[in-house]
Formats: sequence, structure tokens, C-alpha cells
Amino acid sequence: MSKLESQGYRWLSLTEAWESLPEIDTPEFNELCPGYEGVWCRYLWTTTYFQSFFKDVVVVTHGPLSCVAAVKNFKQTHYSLHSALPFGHSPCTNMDENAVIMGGGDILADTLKRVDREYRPKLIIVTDTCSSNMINDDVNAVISDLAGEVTAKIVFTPSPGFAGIQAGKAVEAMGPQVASLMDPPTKTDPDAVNVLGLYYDTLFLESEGRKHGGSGEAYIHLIEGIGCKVHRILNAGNYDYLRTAPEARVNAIHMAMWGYPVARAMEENFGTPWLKRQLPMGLAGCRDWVMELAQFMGREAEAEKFVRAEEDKLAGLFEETKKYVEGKAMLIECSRNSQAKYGEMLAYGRLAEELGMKIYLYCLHPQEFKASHDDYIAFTEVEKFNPPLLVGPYPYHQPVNVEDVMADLGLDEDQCVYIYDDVFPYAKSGSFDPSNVARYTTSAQMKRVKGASFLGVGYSGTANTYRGLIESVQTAKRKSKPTFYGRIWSPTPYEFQTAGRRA
Amino acid sequence: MMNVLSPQNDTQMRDHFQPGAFIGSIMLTSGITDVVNVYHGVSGCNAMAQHFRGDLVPNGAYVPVLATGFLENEAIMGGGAKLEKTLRDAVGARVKNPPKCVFVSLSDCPAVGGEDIEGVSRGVMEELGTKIIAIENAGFVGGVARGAELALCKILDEIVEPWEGKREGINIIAPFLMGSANMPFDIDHMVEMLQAVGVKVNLVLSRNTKYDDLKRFSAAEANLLLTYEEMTDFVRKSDALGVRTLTDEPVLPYGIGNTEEWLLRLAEQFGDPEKAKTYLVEEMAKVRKILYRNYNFSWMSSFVSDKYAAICGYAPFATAITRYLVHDLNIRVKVVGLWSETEASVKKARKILEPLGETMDFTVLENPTYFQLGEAVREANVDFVVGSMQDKPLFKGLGIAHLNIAGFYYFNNYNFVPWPLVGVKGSLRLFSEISKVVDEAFYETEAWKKLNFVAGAAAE
Repeated sequence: MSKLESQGYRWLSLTEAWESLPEIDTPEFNELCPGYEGVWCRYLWTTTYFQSFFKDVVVVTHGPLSCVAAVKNFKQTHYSLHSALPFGHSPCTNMDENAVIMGGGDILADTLKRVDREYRPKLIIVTDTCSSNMINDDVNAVISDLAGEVTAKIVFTPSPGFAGIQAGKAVEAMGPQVASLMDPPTKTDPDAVNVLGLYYDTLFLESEGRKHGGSGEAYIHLIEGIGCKVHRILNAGNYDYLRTAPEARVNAIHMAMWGYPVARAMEENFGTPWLKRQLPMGLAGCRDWVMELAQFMGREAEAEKFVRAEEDKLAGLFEETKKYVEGKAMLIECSRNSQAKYGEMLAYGRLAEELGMKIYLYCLHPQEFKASHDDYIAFTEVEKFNPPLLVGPYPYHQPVNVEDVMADLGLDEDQCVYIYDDVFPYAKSGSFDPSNVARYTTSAQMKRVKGASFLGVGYSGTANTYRGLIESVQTAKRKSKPTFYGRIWSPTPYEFQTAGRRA
Repeated sequence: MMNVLSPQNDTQMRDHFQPGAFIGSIMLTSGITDVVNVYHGVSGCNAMAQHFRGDLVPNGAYVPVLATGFLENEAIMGGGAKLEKTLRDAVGARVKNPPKCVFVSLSDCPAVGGEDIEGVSRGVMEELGTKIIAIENAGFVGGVARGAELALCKILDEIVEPWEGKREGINIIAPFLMGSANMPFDIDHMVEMLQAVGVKVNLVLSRNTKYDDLKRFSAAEANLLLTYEEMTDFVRKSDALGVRTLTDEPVLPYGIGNTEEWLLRLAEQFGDPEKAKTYLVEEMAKVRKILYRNYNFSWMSSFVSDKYAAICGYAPFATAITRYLVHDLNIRVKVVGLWSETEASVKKARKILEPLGETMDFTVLENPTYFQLGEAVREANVDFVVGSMQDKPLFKGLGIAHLNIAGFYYFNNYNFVPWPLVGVKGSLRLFSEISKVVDEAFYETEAWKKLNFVAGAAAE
């Protein structure tokens, strides 16, 4: 029995795992996975999401200043620093003990009036927090009472931290809120396509001065490549950019978890049809995404021509990559960041499967997996992609060790490519290091590439991923001179300490 | 003249970076190396606690923060059972070395819900015998300073023992409240400096402190608070234990001028002033060894002179850096943004900065919103801003060079060299940092791009 098996872990296909797991937030799940805590909260997901509209939109927090600090802690650091998202002004009612006892309606009204007067935004979005929600502050009544006193439109998007700690639940709840900010279309452009579901990214192109590409160029390339035009890529831009989104003929999807809920709500509110393919990564992934759109728009012939031309350009690189990864498994470590978007990691898996690799998904916490129904639907029902997932207790949200995963699967260092999605990737010089096991950076925070989407979407993103995989495999052939990072994590950081082991 | 603006005085609204009380408590207890923190609440707050706790890691220790797994169900039904289970895990099977003490912090949700964390903690403590201290430190109770004070009060109430002997030296309280992004290395060097001049440092609360050391808190003569915030509850309890708290502590030792003042004042009160003078001279000799007749130093110290700057940060750090730039580097500071939790803090900062107004015109904004601060800095047309990572996108977005050395260590810098910013020795790094940002501020990169040589351009 392997170490993982003895600890209660087992490999199940996504569909088997889904069926076998209990409903989230139940005693059964607590028993299965003790100490699951989540990563963020609904307030954090909601506020950072709406801060993607920045030009003339201000998100006001009704709660303690500490909640805003949690947002700034991410938004103003890595969300902005190496991405195109600018500084987000985050005024807050600064609820204290007095407001928790007496109610915070007055301070909310005062804050909204000040924000309207000083910041002069077109739209104010009010998010609430655990405190203001639990004391039943009537935010809508405050907004209603301000009618005539403020110039900006004010909307309330409920977001108490405790309601949907699992990101999937919080994000699902946001779909109708985003759609409610849009206006019914007065006209529809028959060639126009929206792309929904961007998160941790915005529409700003390298031609406009972006140093490292987001996903914008990739979607413009795919959509214009079949003779259609991009209408809106969301979330991005200003209030008018958002509110006129329903003028597109169809919604296409970047990522199911963030895109499906908005698409569903737009369909309900405005009748906007939507397509279910997501994350065009890999040749098949790009083809399927483009052809689904082309079929809807009646442009199959142009699309076939476009896709073939792009595939021809990448054919040599595809074959070369296949040779490099032949006989290898892709070990996909889904750490904390997967709570926001494990679809991305699965899309890398889909790309790897097309290259002939075996896929193993682990450290995707069962509660997170079960909480994101849209990702599950997108992969298993729409794409019929059903790789094995390591299900088990993950006590107190602790990860399992990739070397234990390799031992469990009977894989050696030359049979693996390791990808991960956040900080603290596993490394230990002497046994597991990029110098001896292929490791490729796929996290949205870390992967930055000139001339291609950092998330790897589109043909340029796909090409970049292929090149990255080849380079990672080449690096792992070195078998000496481990990385600084690997040495720091290792009890035997020098090669003289491990020479005997390797021999 | 110093122009003071308090644009938020008539409103509760705020827009600046201030983590809540539970963060202050956890940062304080995370410097006690043989304890464990248990966090009872929603994970968004916990994420922040987990990150800032890491500030104590460089040259320190890793003190776990164990979360109870408080989900929506617990918000409705109560989370006492999960807290109890986690406390049992924290002192039992799940921990390799059982902790000497467990500190329990909580977030807003269980606090508003009326969770009895004291009761649950008492029950487990009585049964298992490990000290468990629950702190009612929800985010709405206050900021990091208030949270630190709540933890300090608990330590004084429940751990510290009375002292009958001669009281000697000082306790250094809450180093992370200084507001320096280099806090772990700064506090270590501050202790080194004090010890070098004969000042006994009885206890740092907290930095690499052992649980058992806390008991001798009352053996000190006085407390040196590294914050300007009012901590009346802590001061009262400490007074009752016979340890007074300094109220006229000198400005933090950033730069030579501030260091000279800081060290001599503390040496006069608690150590050997002659030793302090000798130490300062020796330290300066080491610095001169590097900088005297150094062409690069002469170039850069001449280049930075007469430039225009803005500062924003927590009051102690912002005031010290303002004085450093003005006194040591001959830089004109035009805007100072001060963050604080209590009126006492801005009042003290104002008093320290006021003399600068005799020779320089500048504006102090007390707890401005980032919007107000951005507008003031834009209007002042400064060359660079000293702030923290959280405000970097704001100022860089305005096209102004920015140096992030204020705030917390977490995500604020990628400095892995254990060198201080404080002290005579630290002035080497401080000047290196200022040199980098001034250098950046004056690179004409846009012109270089546009006016660059293009092969074959003449032919066109």
C-alpha cells in the first residue's frame, strides 16, 4: 500500500469523484476533509472582481477597514504589479464596534455622498461584508434614500464573506449581479462577439504598451480570424463598455467558472445566446473553440481555412513537443490558486493529453472541486475530458507531496512533467528539482511571456506552452547543478551531499 | 511652513491600508516562537493573517496559524465544535512539538454571531492543561495597533509574573508597528545597537521571544513603544506591574541624525552615554571606509540633493524618513501622508514634523484617502514617493517614481539581505534605496525609445 493510499487518498475520474463526494459544507464533507478553510471569502472575490472595471467605477465597501486591507493586500500587490490592472480606489465605511451595535446606515450614506462628490464616478458598486450583513444593514434602503442627492448610479452587490467561502459558490452568485449592471440592447451587431470570464486580467494590448500579453490579443486573433469582430472582453474598461455588452450577437467564454454565470444571466435578461467551449489552449482546444463560434455565426468555411492555416504553422512545433514529452505523465498540482480557476490547470491537462501525455490532477481540494459546478460541466459534459483526480482528506487544507504522488503512480523523474499554479511549488534538490524533473510554470501570477497570452490561450499561447514544455524537459536532462530554490528547500543542498544517492 | 490637512476628520469614511485587530494580535504572538495561533473565522481574513505572519520569518521562526475551517454553516449554526476540535489538534496529535500556549483570534463573522471563544478555550485548557488564551480581536474592533494592544493586555494579565527585584533596561514593544518594510532586520539591529551601548533589552514583544521569557516582562524599568498610537489599556496594566512606558521616546533611528538622537537619548536613560558616543564614532568610521572619497557616493549624494519627494506611511516611519530626507540628504519633502489609528499618533507626528516647517514649505495629510493623497502628490509635482507596495500602482500610475520601504515586509520588497535600514550601518542601505529611486526618477526612457538610433534611418 502506498503512503497516499494509507492516508486515505485514491484516484478517481472527475465524474467518479463528483458522484462520490458529498454536498459541500456538510458534516459528511467535514468528516472527509477535516479543517477545510477555503482560501478567500465571497467579499474578496466580489470586490476584486468588480475592481476590474476601473475607469469610472468605484467599489465602496460597507464594513471594517480591515476587509479593504485584505483586498488591497492582493489587488494592489500582485494583481496590479505584474498585470495591467491599475490601482483600485477602495473607499470604505470603516465600520467599528459602534456601527456593529447601532447600525451603519448613516456612515454608508455619508460615504456614498462623499465618493460621489470627490471621486465623481459614473457607477458606484457597494459590496457588504460579514459585519454589515449579519446586523442586517439595509443597504438598498440607504441607496434608495440617496436618490436625487448623488449623481452616480449606485448598485448593491451583496457579498458577505461567509456566504460562499468556496470560490465556485461566490463566483456563481456574481453572474446575475454583473448582468444586472448591463442595459437592454437597443441594437444587436450581427458580427459582434463578447468574451466573458476573464479574471486576473484585463483588456490592454501589447500594442498599447503592455509588456507581457494578457488574453486580449489571443481572442481578437481567433475572432477576427473568422471574420467576426470583438465587441467586449469582460471584465475590463469602464461602465459604458460593460453596460453595452448585450449589443453583441453571442457570448463566447474564456473560463467557465467566471464566464458561465454571467452568460447564463445575460441569456435570461437579454436573450443573448452563449457558447460553452472555454479556454482555447492546444490545437484541439483552439479548433473546438473557434469551430463552435463559427458554426453559430455561420462562418464554418472561413473558420476551417483559418484553423488549418494556424495548425500548419504550429505543426512542426507540435510534433517536436510530442517527441519531447513522449511517455511522460503531466502531474498537475492544484494549490490554493486553483480555488479561483482550476479550469486553467485542466486546460493545460487537455493540451498535454493531445500531446500523448497521461494526466494526473492532485491537490485540488475536494470541496473546491465540488463547489465549482461550471468547471465540471465544461470539462466533463461539454468536452468529455475526464482525467483522474486524487481525492482524499487534505487535512487543514494541507497539500500532498508530489514525490509521494510519483511513488504512488510508480513514476520516476524522467517520466514526469510537473506544473503548479501558485507560490511554494515543490522542490528539493537531490531528488526533485527543475534540473532533474521537468517543471513548467503555469500560474497566472508567475507566467509572463512576451508576445503570447500569459494564460496560454490562443495559438500564440499554445505555441509558447509547447516551447515551455520542450525547454522544461531539456532543462531536466541536466541532472546536476540544482536551482537555488531547490537547494533552499533541501536538507542536502550541495551536490557532494547527494552524489552517492544519484550514483 | 507646515500645512496640516485632516480631510477625513469629519467623516468615518477611510481609504487606506489598515489591516484589522486580529492581524495585530497574530503578528504580535507570531514572534513568540514556541506558541501556536488558532484562527477562528472566515478564510478571507485568515489569508491576510497567514501572509503577514510571515514578516517574522526572516531570521525568526515559523509560528503556525491553524484555521478552524469556519464555513457558511458555522456562520449560521455556530462554530464552537470546530474551534474545540482545532484546539485539541493544535495541542495534540497534529503538532510535532506541543506548543507552550495557544492564542485564539477571531474574525468579524463569529464575533457578531457571539461565539464564546473564551468559554471553549477555557474548557479545552482545563481538560488538556495547555495554556489557551482567547483574544476578542475582530476586524471591527480596530486596526493592527489595537489588536497588538489586546494581545499585550492578555499577556500581561495571564502570563507575566510580578517582579520584586531591581528593575533594569527596557522592553521593546510591537516592532511591526514601526511601519518599516524592513522590520525584521531593523528590530534586530536596534537591539544590537542598544546592547552595544549598555542598554539592557529585557524583552522584545515580540521577536524570537520564548514563551517563558514573557514572564519576566515586569523586570524591565520601562517600555519603549515602537508606535505613536495610544495604548491606554496596555500602559495602565503595565504601570500596575511597575513598568512605566516612555512617552517622549525619540524619533526612530533612520539616518544618521535620527540615530544619533535616538541612541544617545536611550543610552542616557538606560545605558552608558559615553559608550554610545564611542559606538557612534566607530560605526561612522566603518561607513566612511566605504563612502569617503568614493566617486559614486559623491555623485549620487550631490544628485539627490534639492530634489522633491513625498512620503506616505504609518506615522513613526513616515516622520523618521521625512526627517532623514530633509536633514541627511537635503531633499525637499513636499507632501507627507500619515496613517494612524488614534489621534495621539498623528498629534505626535505633527509635533515632530513641525520644526521642519521653519525652513521648508510642505503639507501633511492626516489619514487621507489614497485619492486625496494622489491628488496632493500630483499637484506638488514631486520627483519620487516613498511608500509601500500597496500604493505603488497609484503613484507609478501617476508617472512618479516610487520606493516601497514602508508598511509590512510581506510583498513589500524583495530584500533578502539581512541588513538594516536603521542605525549608522543601516544608512548605507537606506541611501542605496534612495539612490535607486532617484536614479529611476530621472532616467529618460521614453526619450531613449523615441530618439534611439535606427539602422538605415538616414536612407529613409
